[in-house]
Amino acid sequence: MSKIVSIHSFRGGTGKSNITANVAAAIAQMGKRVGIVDTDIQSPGIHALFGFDEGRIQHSLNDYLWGRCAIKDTAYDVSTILKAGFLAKGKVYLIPSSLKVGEIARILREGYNVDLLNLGFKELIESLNLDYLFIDTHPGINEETLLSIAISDQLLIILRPDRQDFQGTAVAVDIARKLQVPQLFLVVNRALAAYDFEALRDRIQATYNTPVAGILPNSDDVMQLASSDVFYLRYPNHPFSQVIGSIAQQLVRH
Amino acid sequence: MPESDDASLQSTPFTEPPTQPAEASSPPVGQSLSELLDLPEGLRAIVQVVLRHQQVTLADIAAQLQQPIAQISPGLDQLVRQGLLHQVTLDNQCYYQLGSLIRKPRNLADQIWEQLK
Ligand SMILES: Nc1ncnc2c1ncn2[C@@H]1O[C@H](COP(=O)(O)OP(=O)(O)O)[C@@H](O)[C@H]1O
Ligand SMILES: [Mg+2]
Repeated sequence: MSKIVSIHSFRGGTGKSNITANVAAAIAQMGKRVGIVDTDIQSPGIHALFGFDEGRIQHSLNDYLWGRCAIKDTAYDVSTILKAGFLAKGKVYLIPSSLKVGEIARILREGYNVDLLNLGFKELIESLNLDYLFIDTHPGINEETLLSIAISDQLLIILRPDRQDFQGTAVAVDIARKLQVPQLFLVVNRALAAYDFEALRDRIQATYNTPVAGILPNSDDVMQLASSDVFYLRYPNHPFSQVIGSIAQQLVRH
Repeated sequence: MPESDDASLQSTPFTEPPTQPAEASSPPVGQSLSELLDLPEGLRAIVQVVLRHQQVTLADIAAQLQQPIAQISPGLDQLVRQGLLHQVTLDNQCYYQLGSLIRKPRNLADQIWEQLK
């Protein structure tokens, strides 16, 4: 059975794209076939972690939504990022959103049929024979986000230890509960080393009545990589990567 | 089984993808997914079964929700009337699928859109 995993946060810049790419890569290293869709149409970004820039994107999700191509034409096989020993079985496909101003503006200006996006997800899972479809989202609440939450089997809500994030997360959790997401997890990102991680976990779990799948440390090394690569694959033994691995395992176990 | 009063809906072929905007056509019209959040829980659960399975029969929905058909039927009718769901008939079997859900266009001055082209 394939699973749809959405990564969301109420506020922007929480680390959604980095966490999506890293957890997806970790699951692919386990030998799974994984797709990643960038539904952050207004501010796409996850392609950068796979070495993509505008020039390399021939067909984007936008082209599919405008009926210019099939959804499978927008999927790029980026499995070569996986470590050699894992290449045989694991697969990673990236479905990027367009970086062209005109394309982004057009989606905002004209809207599009949301059921087409839903059909596209299903077609991707079938045609690429995916075990997991990861959906990276735009922060806050919009049409793409609502769809991805409504259809996901597992949802990761990312928050930083910050009062604004805490309040916004309550809204996101509320929506996820309304939409009856089968498995809901919180992930805390950019926790300072000075924090007591266990106390933080207990407090957050109690506040939202939701399991915390992991607390990722704030890391200069992650910042230095600056979204130019998948950190987990490059530094598998780093404390950040260990938490990523643990989150991946929890997703696969459930 | 509830009947749609719009005959044209029933003739929609099974495999046809949802209509998509032709290049430079007028914006799509339909419902927003945000309406899902305002629905009572029972109705929302029905829409979600359809969202997850794309095309389902009344019996499928009842099985998924583990509720008797008679309990679901009125809610389904209401969702069809609201336009959130559509009925299609294939091989004499009635299926439910999403109605026209759209990401609503944003309002912004024409000059600004022109600049962004
Ligand atoms: N644990 C972390 N430690 C340090 N920097 C991080 C960490 N997680 C994310 N970042 C940085 O935060 C910024 C935003 O991350 P990104 O994944 O793009 O967030 P989002 O997709 O939510 O907007 C990036 O510059 C990224 O390198
Ligand atoms: Mg992002």
